[in-house]
Order: sequence, then structure tokens, then C-alpha cells
Amino acid sequence: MIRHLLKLAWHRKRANALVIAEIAVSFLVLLAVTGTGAWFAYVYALPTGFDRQDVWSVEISRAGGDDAPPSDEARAAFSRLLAESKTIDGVREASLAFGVPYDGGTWDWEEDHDGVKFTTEVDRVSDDFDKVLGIRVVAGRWFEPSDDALSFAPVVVSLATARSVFHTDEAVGKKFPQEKGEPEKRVVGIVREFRKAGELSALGNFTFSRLTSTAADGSGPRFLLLKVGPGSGVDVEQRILDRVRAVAPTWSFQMKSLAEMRALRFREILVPLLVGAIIGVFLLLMVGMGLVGVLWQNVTTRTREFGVRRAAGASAAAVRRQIQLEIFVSTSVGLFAASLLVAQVPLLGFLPPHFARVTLIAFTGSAALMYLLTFLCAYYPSWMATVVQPAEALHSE
Amino acid sequence: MLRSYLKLAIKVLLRRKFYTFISLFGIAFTLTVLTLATALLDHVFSPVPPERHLDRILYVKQVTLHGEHITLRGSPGFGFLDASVRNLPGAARVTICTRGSDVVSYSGGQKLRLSLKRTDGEFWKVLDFDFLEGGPFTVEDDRAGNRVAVINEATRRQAFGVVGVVKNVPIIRDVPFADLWVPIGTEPSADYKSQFSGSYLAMILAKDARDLPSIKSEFDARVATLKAPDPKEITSIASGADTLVETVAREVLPGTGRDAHGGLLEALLVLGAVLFMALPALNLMNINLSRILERASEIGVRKAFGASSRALVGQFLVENVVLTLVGGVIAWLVSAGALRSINLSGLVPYADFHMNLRILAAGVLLALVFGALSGIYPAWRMSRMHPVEALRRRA
Repeated sequence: MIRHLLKLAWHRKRANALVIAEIAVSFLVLLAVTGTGAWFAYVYALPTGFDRQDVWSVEISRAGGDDAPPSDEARAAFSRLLAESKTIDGVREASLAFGVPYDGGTWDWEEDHDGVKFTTEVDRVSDDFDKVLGIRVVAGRWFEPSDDALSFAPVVVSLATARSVFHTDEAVGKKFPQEKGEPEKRVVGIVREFRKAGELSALGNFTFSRLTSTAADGSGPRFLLLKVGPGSGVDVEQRILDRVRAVAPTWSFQMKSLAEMRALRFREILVPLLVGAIIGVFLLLMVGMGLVGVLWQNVTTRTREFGVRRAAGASAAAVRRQIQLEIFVSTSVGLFAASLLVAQVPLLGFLPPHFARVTLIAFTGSAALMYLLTFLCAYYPSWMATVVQPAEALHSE
Repeated sequence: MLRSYLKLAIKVLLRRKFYTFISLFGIAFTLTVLTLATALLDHVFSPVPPERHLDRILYVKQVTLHGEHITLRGSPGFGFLDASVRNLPGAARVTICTRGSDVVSYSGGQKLRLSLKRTDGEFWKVLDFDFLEGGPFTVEDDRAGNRVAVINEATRRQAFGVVGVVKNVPIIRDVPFADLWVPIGTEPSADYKSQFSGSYLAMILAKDARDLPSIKSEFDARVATLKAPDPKEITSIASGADTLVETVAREVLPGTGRDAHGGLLEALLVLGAVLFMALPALNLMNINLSRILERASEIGVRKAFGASSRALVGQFLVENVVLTLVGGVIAWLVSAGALRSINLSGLVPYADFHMNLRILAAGVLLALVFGALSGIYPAWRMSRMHPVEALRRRA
């Protein structure tokens, strides 16, 4: 039956080509929308590795500009800032960091390890960072003040990083790859996961290095991260800002809760996604209506053909099935052509890891939706084809 | 001839209302999306106050400092701008201001977040702010570090000694935008004066739009001779004096070094619009083809009586363009409503989206392009139909 229909479709290829092209392009649009949606839904459900509840960030703008390595005075001021903020009434934990969750920035680092390239996001944080964010250490330990005396630079890595660099979960104590001229690095602890950009971020490696008050290299911290008591309000916020301003009067400070920063990041990602989805839905609605029009016309011009079939003994259901199968064939050809195009994309290597599963879900979902759409579009026209009496249909010339 | 085509077009459109409806739905939707995109771009790039003299303004918003181990890319510092943008030949005025940062003030248990921009006195002469009250602060205010401020309508608060109130500037125009403008001289420390990397930007107002290329090259020449004071390992500096479109191109397109690819950005926008039109155009083509097959007998008769292919193509294109223009009118109304609701929703602070003649012109152009794009192939198919074959068929 299908083979016969394929032959028929081939005979009408001129007429079908545009419909097939339209189905193929619609499928691509649908796949882009569902693929992006499925990807974000998938990563949203995964753990971020930190607890944002009652955490506030104070962004520090140094008078001397933030990119240059801090001067001795600036480093002393950072130490005072950290010590001072721990004594503020209402503040439970405090830590300094180069980057904090939802800050919108990333610091990536690419290195060779035994000839294999690996990439990790990095952050440089002070000792109590894990307490502020409730980060769970699964092996080894977090940084501690006594690390000042170590002969190497301690790093804490995420489980995924340990696996991709050392191919084992037992990475504590191992030498971590370093850039030329840098001091030796060793892994002292492993955290389960850390996704600094939060729920909607891609999955990747993460490495913490220790921020000390003495290190003269690299950029200084840019954030003071504070864990406050539950339900702290504007009064606590004002108290904190007054105290930090008193420590460094020439610097400026901006305070936001992680919840606020998260809302901002989410909006940046979700608004375009929502606009895309709305446009996608309207496009499909438009395509659906267009297909109804095309099929309707198709059926009315073929009245005689259906009349002959009915006269030769085909049932109304058989005629309807023929029309449905015809559009099924067109849809399949369209999807096949679009799939060939889509198959080129992963080869480009643009897509984040773990994408295969999500792609598969989005792909099957979109294909099923396209079949459903074309089936529904053909429903009324196929019914139209059967209401004409065979005798009447044959008469219609 | 055209009049009879128009008459015929309207008759045909009214005859099969279902087809007309689905065509119009697709056209109106497509053009609405494109009109909204155009309105957004217009909001960002049009020469409206305060950036009224957009055709004569160059912006320096980014600097890249290269060293052997280090690449700093970001906003320029005051020191860099002070050394590179002053007294460029052909420039009428030059201003330096900060990118803008948030400041928070607390009063009565309430938190108030304001966007603060530090500017010099020239800022108010390069840009045309609409003053509702008072006037700008001056070059002397800046030099003396006077604690004076200009605020926008939404912030009529007396935190500083307010010297003037201006109309709200939409946040999308990020260079003039702020709630609160104060002199650079009020910076708490003087460190900013020597920095090459920081949070400043500069605007250069040319005497004449034709001077822009020479100002750009003079700026580049100056930057090439500059030496960064700190950090010591910086070996080269890259920056550029850009038009507004080029500043955006420099930010969003990767790999822009000294030159910003403003033209490439424009080309990408056009390409995006064409790609977006592809599916709606395919859809409309399919509907149009169906319509033609339905009118086979009419075409057969006209051909049999000697109508040329060209006349038939012309007739059909007129029909399609009439349809697209009707869709364009609907799109215009829907877009105007959508923009109004965006303004009222407060989604974009101080947004003042509205339709204007530039968007109308773009809309008409888009409708014509879309009409032609979706009409030509079906028209060609129609004109090739054999009269005998056409007459034999029945709708």
C-alpha cells in the first residue's frame, strides 16, 4: 500500500514538493523550539550543588579598577572586609570570591593533561565559601586556614572534573594540571557538583582554587558573599553596607540577594525562549491552516478519482485512509529531508555535552507532533472526499 | 489596467473567504513579528533625543589591553580616554562619562535602587536632554567636584543638590541612560584619572558627519602610540571610535579587533528577517497555488482569448500584493497594541516604544518584499498553464 502511495506521490511530485518543503521547514522550527525547551527542562532538574537560601552578594568595585592585580593596601582592605563582615549582627557566614553564583560571568580554563585537553570553569574563593553556600564535600576536605602553610596550591574539584581529568573518583591527593611557571597544584577535596550559573546552565567541570590574603598574583576578589539569618530585611542590608563602606570608603559596593540575581539570569534566558515559543506556536498554527487549505483544494479537484474508487467498490473509510496515508507519506519525506539537515549539526561540535538524550526526546516529540498536525489537517478534507456520492462524483465533469 | 486588476483582486479575495482568512492570518502574523523587531531596532538605533545627532557621534566603549600572559577586554578607563579622545581634528565636542552603575539608598526602611552616571560638563552639550526643570551642571561643577546632580522625572528626590530634572531616558539607550547624573569630580578617589581599564566611555561629536572617517583614523593612530601605565606587562592596546551600530557589532560579533563590523551586523539582521520569512512565504505559496488551480477555468478562458503570460503574472502579483498590504495594515494595528502594552507593563524601564514613519516605511517595504517573495512562483506556474488543460479542469 505504502509503495503504491509512494509511486502516486512521485507522479504528483511537482504538486507535492512545496508541501513537503513546508513540512520540512516547520519541523525544523518545531525542533528548535522543543529542543531548546527540553534542554532547559533537563538541566533545570539537575542539582546545582549549592543552596541559595538567605545568601546575599556584595559586589565590590575597587577604586583602582577591578581587572588589575590588587595592591598591598587593597589586599589588606580585603582581609579587613572579611573579618569585619563576620562580626556584623545578622551575618552567619562570610567569604570572598572572584565569582559568585548567578553573577553572569564565567572564567574558563583549558589545559592539557597527559596530552588530553580538558576544560574547566574556575573560581577563586576564600575558606568559608562552602559554608556560605552549603556546598557538600564528598571526599577529602574544603580549604582551611592551615592551608597557608602547604607547599603546594590546594584545589577542590567537582566530581565530574575528577572523572574527566583522572578517570577516577579517588582523586584526592593527586597532582592537578598546572600552567607553566605556576606553583604545583594538588586536589584536596571533591564536591559533588557546582554549577555556578545555576539551574539553567550547561553541565561542565568546575575547579575551585584558594583565595588567600597574601597571594600577589591574579585578580583580586570581586564579591563578598554572606549567609544571613532567615527573614533578614532591609535593616540588615543597610547595616552591612554601612559597615563595609566604613572599612573601604573609596570603594563602592552593590548588594543583591542571590534570589534577585537568579531572577535576573532566568529572565535573560526565559524571555527570549518564551518569545521564540510564542512565535513557533503561531507559525505552526499558520502552517496548519495553510495545509487544510491546500488539502481541501487537492480533494475537490480529485473528486472524479475518488468517485471511480468508490464505484469500483472501495469503502468511504478506504478513501479516507488513502488521503491520510498520502499526507503521511509527504510528512515522512519532509521529516526525512529535515533530519538529513539536522544530522549535520552535532558534527559541528557546537552543542553542549549530554545533548544526545535531550536531542532524541525533542526529535521524537517534534516528529510525533508533526504527524499529529498533518493528520488533523487532513481530517476534514478527507471526510469531504467521502461525502460525495460516487454517481455524482463521476458526473461532475 | 491596474484599476481593473485591483477590482478583480478584491472580488477574488471576497469570493473564497476561508482562503483569504488563512492567507491574511499568515501574512499579518509574519509582518507583526517583523514590525515589532523593526520597532525595537528603531528604539535602539534611531536619532532621537538625547542622542539626536547620532549621525555625528562616535563612541569609544571598549578597550583591549594585550600582554604576553594577559588580555584585558572591557570598558576603557578615564586615563586612556583622556589621552586618546581630546582635541581630535574635526571633532566639535568630546565628553567622557561612566558606563553607569547602581547605587542604593535607604530611607524609612525602603530600598531605592538608582542608576548613577558620572559625567563631565560637556556631556550635556553633546547630548540633547529634555530639561523639565533647572539645567545641567557645568564644567566648573565637575572641576570643583560639586555635589550637584541631575535626576530624571522618576527620581525627583533630593539626595544631592539637584540642579535639573530631565525627561526619562529609556534603558535601551544605555549611553545617556541613568536615573541620576553627577559630576565625575565627585568620585571618592582620584585614581580613575590614570586608569586605562575601568568603567568609562567617551563620545565624540563631530562638526560634520563627513568628518567621521578622519576622526576614526586619527583616534586609531593615537591609540597605537599610547603606553599603558599599569599593569606593566601590557604590550599593546586596541580600541575603536565607533558609530552606535558599530558599538553593538563590536559587542555581539566575536573576533572584532580594531575594526567593528557594522555592515556585517546589518547584513545578519537582514538575513535573519529573510530566514524568518521563509516558512510563512512557503505557506503562502502553497495556498496561492491552490487558489490558482481553483481558478484554472478563468485562466484558461483568459488565455484562450489571447491574454499574455506577462499580463497574467502581473494580475496575480497585484492580487498578492493587495493581500499582503491588507495583512500589513492588520500587522500595524496589532504591533501598535503590543508596543503599548509593553510600555504599560513596565517590563523595560522607561520604555517609550511607539510607531513612527521610519517603522511605517520599513513595514511597507517588508510587506512588498514578502508579497513578491510568495507571489512570484505561483504566478509563474499560473502563466505556464496550458489553456486547453486549464479549460478541461473544473473547480
